Amino acid sequence: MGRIIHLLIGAALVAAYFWATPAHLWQAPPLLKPAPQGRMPASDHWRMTFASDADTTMVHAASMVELPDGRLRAFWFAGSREGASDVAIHSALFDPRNGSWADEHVAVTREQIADQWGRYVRKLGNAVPVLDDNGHMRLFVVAVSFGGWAASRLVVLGSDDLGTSWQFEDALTTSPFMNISTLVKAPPIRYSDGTVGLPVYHEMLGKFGEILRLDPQNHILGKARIGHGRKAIQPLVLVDSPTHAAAFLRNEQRPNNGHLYQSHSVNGGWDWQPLTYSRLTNPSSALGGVVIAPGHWLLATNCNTEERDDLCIRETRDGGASWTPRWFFHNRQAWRDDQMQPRPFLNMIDNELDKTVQVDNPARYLDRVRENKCRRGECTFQYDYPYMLRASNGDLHVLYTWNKAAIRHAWLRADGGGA
Amino acid sequence: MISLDYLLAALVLVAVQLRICAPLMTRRTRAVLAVLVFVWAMLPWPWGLAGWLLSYLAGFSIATGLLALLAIQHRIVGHYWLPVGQLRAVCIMLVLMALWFYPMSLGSSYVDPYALGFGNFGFATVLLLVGLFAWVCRAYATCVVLVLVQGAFALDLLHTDNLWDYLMDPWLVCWALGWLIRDRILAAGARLPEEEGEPAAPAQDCPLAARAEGQ
Repeated sequence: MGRIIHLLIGAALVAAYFWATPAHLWQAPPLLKPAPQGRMPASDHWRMTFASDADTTMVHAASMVELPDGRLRAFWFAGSREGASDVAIHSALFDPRNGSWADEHVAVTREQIADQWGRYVRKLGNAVPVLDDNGHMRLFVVAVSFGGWAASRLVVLGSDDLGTSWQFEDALTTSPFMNISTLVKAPPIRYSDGTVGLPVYHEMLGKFGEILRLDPQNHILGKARIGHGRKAIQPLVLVDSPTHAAAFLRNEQRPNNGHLYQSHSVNGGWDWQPLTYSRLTNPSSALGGVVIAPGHWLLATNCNTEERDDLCIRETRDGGASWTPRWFFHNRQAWRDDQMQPRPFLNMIDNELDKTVQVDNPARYLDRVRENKCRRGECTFQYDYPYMLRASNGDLHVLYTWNKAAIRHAWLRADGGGA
Repeated sequence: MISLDYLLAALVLVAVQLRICAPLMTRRTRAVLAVLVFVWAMLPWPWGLAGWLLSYLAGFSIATGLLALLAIQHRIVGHYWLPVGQLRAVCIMLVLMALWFYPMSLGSSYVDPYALGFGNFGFATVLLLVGLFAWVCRAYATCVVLVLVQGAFALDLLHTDNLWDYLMDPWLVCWALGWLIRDRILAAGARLPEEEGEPAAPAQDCPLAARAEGQ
């Protein structure tokens, strides 16, 4: 009898080995799926408008996704201040046919996530959408149960009506230590088998980037690390070909030399070269970007080493060997060392409002800017967290945080026409 | 959302409650209180304790759940089923592995052992070899834990997709470290009468079976 049990246990061990081997391991690893090649828009005329309505005091960290009919759906978090319990994920729709944004609305609240997940949620943060081929939309949201952003977890919400209503789907387990310290910022990448690569980053003990490969049911099929130690966060991954991708990361080294980090993968994103400094100056702030064609990339970011008081788009046509600033949306470096009094500051903001089309209530935006950016008689500019998208018709779209008061939309039409 | 994660958290809570109450209550009272704590823990969030525990600590591994079950059985029935020698070997292995696993997984190097848990032939083979070694040593408890862990992973019973999370968690490592410290203290206490003329324990061939008796 003892011998039979002994043999049975041995057989069970071998059976468990085969049983527990995930099915995807028996398949060839997928390749990256690059976006179709495009052309640079002929015009330099960016049309500026606001995606948000200044309904809340603070807004931040916008993202967007193109819908099958060509409209855009944008997301950002909004509330009384960053990290406050009233922060929710807001959303709005942009229709390029009439060039206008619909009213913003609350898409997801922390109470909704807590109720449907069955866990306490203290605050919400960045949100990144993914539209699957079957029309199902997923929203990856940073949720925190305790502590600060270092204790972040990623939850997934799903929508079958292109982002109008949301249901909690899953919480991703991405770290072995209390599943904390995983955040999301940059757009997803796609693989040849329909799975999605979600660039994420950690910022607790280590500050580094990763790519999570997810199937449509939100199962994590694999994870690739970009960087290590306490160096860099918020990886932006630009896919050039089925095997080659470049990643640019926000430099979090202390002291900081003011340059973005970069890394490359030549095997479909499974392994990444050690981080090196890029030629791109940046004051440790977030970045967005798109691929126009292999080696031809655009990167939206702050273009100096110190402050978030400018915002530009840089272009490379040689895979990052050389970069040129192509467009400046803002450049307030000349005022950086001045103590900006509220009156001249708000006059300059008013000027930016004049250049923004379809602003319903400029005074409200002005108030929001004052609330966010003026303290004790001194004001500062802030243009950051760009999220860039190249639409299927070739149009370029950038959403970014405008003085923490609004989500500003910059739109460059591929056909060169004014909007 | 009631799930196996909830059940494991409830078992851990009951085990901790029994550990605290053991010296203070009769066995019957302990058991009644354990049932109450279990039911309270299993209530849906926000009423149940398990939801709150999971909100802060994330999830528990299958191994922790099995250990909690054994601890509950020990405190209620009074019989300790797990062979101490195997437990000691596993605790040492867990703590040593954690010293390598957690710093690497949390970003100290480009190598990410946690990524192996999402599916890797090498990792699965190492687990098989560990299991076969335990099997050769007739350390069946270790074998059973490994089989249950991998079975639960194959059935996708926890919220995680990572085999490491089924196998171990930081709280299991903390418990193992505590158990080893306590073991050393008890061993040091037992050595005193031994030095006064009591016979020493017989040596064993297999490390997993060594010092399987006692305590």
